[in-house]
Amino acid sequence: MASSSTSVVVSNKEKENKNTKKVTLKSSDGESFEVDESVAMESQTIKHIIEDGHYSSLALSLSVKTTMASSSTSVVVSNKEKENKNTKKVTLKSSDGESFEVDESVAMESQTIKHIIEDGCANNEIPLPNVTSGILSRVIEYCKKHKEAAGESEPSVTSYTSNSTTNPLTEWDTEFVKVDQNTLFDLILAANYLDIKGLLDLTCKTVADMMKGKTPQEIRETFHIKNDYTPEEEAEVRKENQWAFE
Amino acid sequence: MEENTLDLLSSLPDEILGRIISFLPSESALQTSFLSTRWASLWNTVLVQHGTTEAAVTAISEFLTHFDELNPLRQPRRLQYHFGKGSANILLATIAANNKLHMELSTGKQEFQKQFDWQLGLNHQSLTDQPSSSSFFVKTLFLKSVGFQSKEAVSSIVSNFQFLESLKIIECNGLQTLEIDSSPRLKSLTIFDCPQLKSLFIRSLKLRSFRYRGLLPRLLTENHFNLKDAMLDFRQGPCDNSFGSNDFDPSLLTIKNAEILTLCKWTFEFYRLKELWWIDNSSEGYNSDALISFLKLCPALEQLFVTVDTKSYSMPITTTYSKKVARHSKLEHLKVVKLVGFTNEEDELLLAVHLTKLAVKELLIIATADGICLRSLVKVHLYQPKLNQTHVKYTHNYKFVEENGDINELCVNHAHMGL
Repeated sequence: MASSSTSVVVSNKEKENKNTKKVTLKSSDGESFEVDESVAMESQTIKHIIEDGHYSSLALSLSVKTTMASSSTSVVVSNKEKENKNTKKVTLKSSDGESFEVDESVAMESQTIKHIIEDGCANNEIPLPNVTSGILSRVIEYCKKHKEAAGESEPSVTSYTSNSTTNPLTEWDTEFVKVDQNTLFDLILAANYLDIKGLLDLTCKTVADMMKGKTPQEIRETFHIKNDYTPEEEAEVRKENQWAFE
Repeated sequence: MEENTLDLLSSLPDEILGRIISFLPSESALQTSFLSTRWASLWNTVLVQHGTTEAAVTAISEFLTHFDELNPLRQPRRLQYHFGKGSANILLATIAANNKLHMELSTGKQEFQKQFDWQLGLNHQSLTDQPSSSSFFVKTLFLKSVGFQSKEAVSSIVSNFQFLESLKIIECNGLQTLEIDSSPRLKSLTIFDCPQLKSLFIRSLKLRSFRYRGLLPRLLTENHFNLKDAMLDFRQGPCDNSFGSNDFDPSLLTIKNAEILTLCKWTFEFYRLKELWWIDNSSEGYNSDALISFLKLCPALEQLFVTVDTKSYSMPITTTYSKKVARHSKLEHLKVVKLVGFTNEEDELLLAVHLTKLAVKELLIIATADGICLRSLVKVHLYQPKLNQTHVKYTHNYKFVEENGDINELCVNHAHMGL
């Protein structure tokens, strides 16, 4: 029983992140158990050994027999499982009635939602009457991705002002905003309403990039802006502002 | 997916449009004001203040400091400052990208503008103990309609601009004499359309560009400076009829090495010249072009003495091109010619053909009478077959053909005209 539960957990963890550090615990009768370092650190003893660096990646001799070792491992593992199950979640409800369950930490990427939660006003669901389900699911996608990348720290701060070639999310972000204008503007409004600075900057910069290098007439065509200047008015405005372009 | 023809962009709230604009390069951000009136209104918030003449300096200073260049819509880019007796004087200051500031003065009533003299000292230590705390460094300044009531306020404001590189003064009614005393930072000075200006005194060491349009005033320059770019549009004539050519001499010195010039023929006429001794050099055959051209500027000439000295110095550029006898010198580098305002088409065509023959390169010649309709010179091949001959002869004639192209594509903008 013990062995089988150990193997189940390990393979799940494997799926999630292949890069998690692992340690191998070797029982006194020679059987080896490979576990995630974080899981093994549930044991203070092992934790100290690891922190002191007195081990190689292969062997941690434990003076515990196999069955005992396995059983304690399984206990450790299942504790961690339980802990993970306790990650707080919130439910966001879109304007068209669809509900989305997300980790609280992901939802808190939105300052608006953060305030609602902190004020204790989030009971069952947080209704978002200004955001449709299609847009909300995209927003959640963005928040998830950026939260993952930021780790356990405060809401991720992504700067779009510099040429972020060093930012690994740049490519993902670029793909994320390859959408039609309708969707793009809905994302802007949602990011504004939900107060998600990173998403707002990303979408606004995308619009700005669509305007860069174009003449006013070309910009009008791209965005279907109606020119409501009379020719005289337009000439007047250009003349007034000519100095600014000299 | 239905075709989207709605203007969703303009319906976004102001703050969001401001954020989008903050991602545009600052030079072109203001162009969004041309999109529609809704976009223009984003740029036209005005901060209105009232105060004393003395407090104007501080008001401008604070206004400049608060402006956020990276986010140009966050703070108003215009300040309307009311000052003076009965708050009748209004200073409208507008900020633009690349450290430009435009200040326009007006008085409530359209009074007769009293004549006044103005001494503008730039880049001096300000006389008050106002520290220049402005973090926005004005590099280019436009002053419009400064009058006798506002000159003091403007002077103190301007003397704080320690990094000023370019100054443009336009349409100052009543301005009689102008004295500009500046530091070596000032590189460019432009004075347009000040109708009463009689005397202009420039004390400026490193001026590289000088542009003037209006009646020719008395021009005094304390230090000699070498202009790269000069526009001397004195087509309205001298400001008083006792024009003496020695008043214009200092300007001649300054433009000798210019790369771009605008000139009026009359300022270069030697209208009193009766007797001329001309020393020229000659390399393998005398070239009379320069002399002939000069003679055309001497309408009163009575006696001419020409000396040809083969050892006489000649500017290196003119002697390198050809060893053969060249009776008429060519314009080696001429590429583009634009003829404006000719009333007689024959004259226009004659000059154009003449220039074509003088040029070495393939010449683009464009003519226009009204600035809108363009014609360019083309060769017309007349095919003349001769009987009983194996080769045929073409003669070239020329004519002007209408162009539909954009004037800006056909030839570059004149650096001066159209300002």
